[in-house]
Amino acid sequence: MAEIVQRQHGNGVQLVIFWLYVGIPLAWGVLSTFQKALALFR
Amino acid sequence: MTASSGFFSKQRIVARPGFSRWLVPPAALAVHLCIGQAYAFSVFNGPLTKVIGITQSTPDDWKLTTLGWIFSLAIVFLGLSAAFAGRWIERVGPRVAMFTAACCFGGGFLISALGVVVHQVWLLYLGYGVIGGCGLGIGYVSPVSTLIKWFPDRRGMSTGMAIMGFGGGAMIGAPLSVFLMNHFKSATSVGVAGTFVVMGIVYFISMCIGALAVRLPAEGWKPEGWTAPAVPKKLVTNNHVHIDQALKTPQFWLMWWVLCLNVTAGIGVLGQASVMIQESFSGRVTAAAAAGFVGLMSLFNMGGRFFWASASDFIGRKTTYYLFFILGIVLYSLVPGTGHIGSVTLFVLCYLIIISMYGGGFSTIPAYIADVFGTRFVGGIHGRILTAWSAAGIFGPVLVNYIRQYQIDHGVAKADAYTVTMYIMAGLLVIGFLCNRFIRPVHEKHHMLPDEVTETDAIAFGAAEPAR
Repeated sequence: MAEIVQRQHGNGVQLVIFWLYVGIPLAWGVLSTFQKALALFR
Repeated sequence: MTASSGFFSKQRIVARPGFSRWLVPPAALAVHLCIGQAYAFSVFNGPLTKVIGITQSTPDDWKLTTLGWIFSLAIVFLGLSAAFAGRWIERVGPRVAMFTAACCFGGGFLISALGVVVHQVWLLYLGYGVIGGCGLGIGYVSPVSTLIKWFPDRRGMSTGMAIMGFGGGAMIGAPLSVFLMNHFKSATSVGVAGTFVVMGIVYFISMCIGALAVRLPAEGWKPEGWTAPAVPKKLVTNNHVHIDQALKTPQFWLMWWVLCLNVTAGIGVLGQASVMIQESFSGRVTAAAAAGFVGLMSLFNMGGRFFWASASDFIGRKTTYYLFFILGIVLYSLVPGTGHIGSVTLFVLCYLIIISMYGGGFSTIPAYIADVFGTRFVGGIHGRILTAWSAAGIFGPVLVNYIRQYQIDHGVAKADAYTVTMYIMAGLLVIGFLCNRFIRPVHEKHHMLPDEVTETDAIAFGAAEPAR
């Protein structure tokens, strides 16, 4: 049981790190594009 | 790198019990966010025309028409590699395929950097166009088929996540390229070579991280609490069709046309969006506002990939494509009217929905393939259907450009020159609608027999024992 709990905990940390790894650059790209897109409304 | 042994083998990446399947989408995104850079390659065009002159083009510098072939070659080799490497990808598994894609895509950048330094354009054709293009094709297909196996309950959503990454890759690639070119720019260099080297290395590492993290589900694995419906939906099969057999079915070719026509309509207007809005609302929409419109279209292209593919899990793939075609016909027919009444808002709204469905067409097709042909060879079949993308990449822009030019040459005002094109696009979508209408379940004579499925498993996995 302990092993399973540990593995799931490990998975949780891995999940957060891995999603941040792809999420941060994607968010940066989306934000940059959105800033350009704002020019349409000016 | 054989299929049955070693670090890259399929059995080495079979997930242990307790592995979270939610680790697989970021592995897929790590690849797709990189290869999606291809759509931002045009940011290099300007600087590449001034490699010798630095501040302005000299007669010895490359022309834009010469450089245009780099992207075209990359898209052609994307389609070819996805089509021809499909069987190999299924045999060797996603880790080998994703690592190969990393080598090709990263290596392509490095060869191109050399091409810039020695000013030999054929090295850019070979590097980014041919080798990088193969990286695009292999990298596009392999994570998608893996995700479908991990998310039998949400095929659309999972493929939507990965393919959304391909749309988002350009949004990262474009500002990153500009930042790096400014960093490397000097009195003697436009900064492209240094940018290519850094991007090649960064993309190689990022894609390798995806390749290392990817896992395959163990044979017979199912999501917790989920059981395959005893009576599947009409089009969804629990059987499998062999990749070579799939080509002999009408469903394969109908799907090929469904994708081709949906993409043709979208790709034709995507490349012309900036010019189109400025000519349709001459004097009211500035170049900066038009660039903003293109940016907004990119966001909807990316968002549509996730939204529509996820929606298809609830409304069905066939219905989703019906929506693409019916809504598309209505919107393409409405666009000329929005120009005539002078409504920029309606014009933009129509295009944003159209472009979201263009993206949605890409992300929903793998799940459609898995529903109709089963999951065993979904990557390979998807790769072959992607040749429709390459074909559409030629049809779409050619249709829009030539029809527009023909209209202008015959005295039609620029603002009205797109009217006929829009009606032709709507006509193409009618054909797409009919193709989708005729897609029915694959005849059982095409299904693999149970012992054939077991045999392909044995070849692919060897002694299937989860090792990591």
